[in-house]
Amino acid sequence: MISRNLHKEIALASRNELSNFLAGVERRAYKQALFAVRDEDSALDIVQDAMMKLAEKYGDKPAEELPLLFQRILQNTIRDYYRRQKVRSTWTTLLSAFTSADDEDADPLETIADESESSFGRPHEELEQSQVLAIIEKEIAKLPPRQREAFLMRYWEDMDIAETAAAMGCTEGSVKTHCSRATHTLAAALKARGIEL
Amino acid sequence: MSRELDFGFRLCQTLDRGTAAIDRETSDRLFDIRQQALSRHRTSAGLSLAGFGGITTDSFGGYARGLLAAMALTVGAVGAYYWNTFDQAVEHAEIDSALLADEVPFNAYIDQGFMAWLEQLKDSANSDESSQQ
Repeated sequence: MISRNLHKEIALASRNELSNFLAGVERRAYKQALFAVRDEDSALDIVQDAMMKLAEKYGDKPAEELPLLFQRILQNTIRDYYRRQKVRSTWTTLLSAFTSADDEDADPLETIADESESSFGRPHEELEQSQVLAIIEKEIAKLPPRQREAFLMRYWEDMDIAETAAAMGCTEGSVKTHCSRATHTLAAALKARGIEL
Repeated sequence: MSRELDFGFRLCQTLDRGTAAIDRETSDRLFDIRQQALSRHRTSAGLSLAGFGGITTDSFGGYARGLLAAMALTVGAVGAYYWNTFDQAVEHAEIDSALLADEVPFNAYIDQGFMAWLEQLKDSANSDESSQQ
């Protein structure tokens, strides 16, 4: 009887830890998936798959191991999504490539300026912040997938180089290179738009 | 390198503001997803202990019955072997005693088939004795 209660308490503690972890990471995970696939429903599906896998297979792991495991699962789920998309419809991928090429030609600030016209009554500072945020998110979405993965895990998820390398399945040197390139690309893109952080 | 780090972290602070601005519908869907994931949550401690409990309570009778049946079969086989050997020994003893008591007819000693059978009997008796030793 005592042991049964103890097991129940252990399971409950583990469940609470998992719940807290997922609650803390879910929004960033959604954004990461959204940067990668650029589709809200697909991003939510990816987050769902990743969370399910974590809960089913690694739900009993210590809380400190969950971030690395979750990132690994999330990145693999995003890659699986890419593979499925590639297999199912090559022509759709080509079409979306043309669309994104059009987007690249457009000035993000112009787009945001157009969008901002509808937000009458907002404080000026908030508007500016949302514009900057939109530009940053757009630039991050444009990064090559591996650079984006490395950058977000390293700086947003606050993982160290070794953890990022383990999650990405590459060397620490590769992580440093990806992060450095991503940072320089983003810095150049923001500077070109006159944005300073 | 430190400039890189500084820039990266400052950029991600801005991204944090973006997560705070996620719309209500998406937030609700994320909440549902989290609840679904938690409903699938399993602990290995619970599983292993539940498994052990299952063995001790449900399957133990089955295991014990199987073990008892195997033991009974082994005891039966060994018993049958020894009983058979004992029967043969008694039979041989009867023949030996009949020979010693001269109860076998004289013609039997000049019967080649009988002599051959006796030799065969003797050999098999010797081999039985050596195997028992």
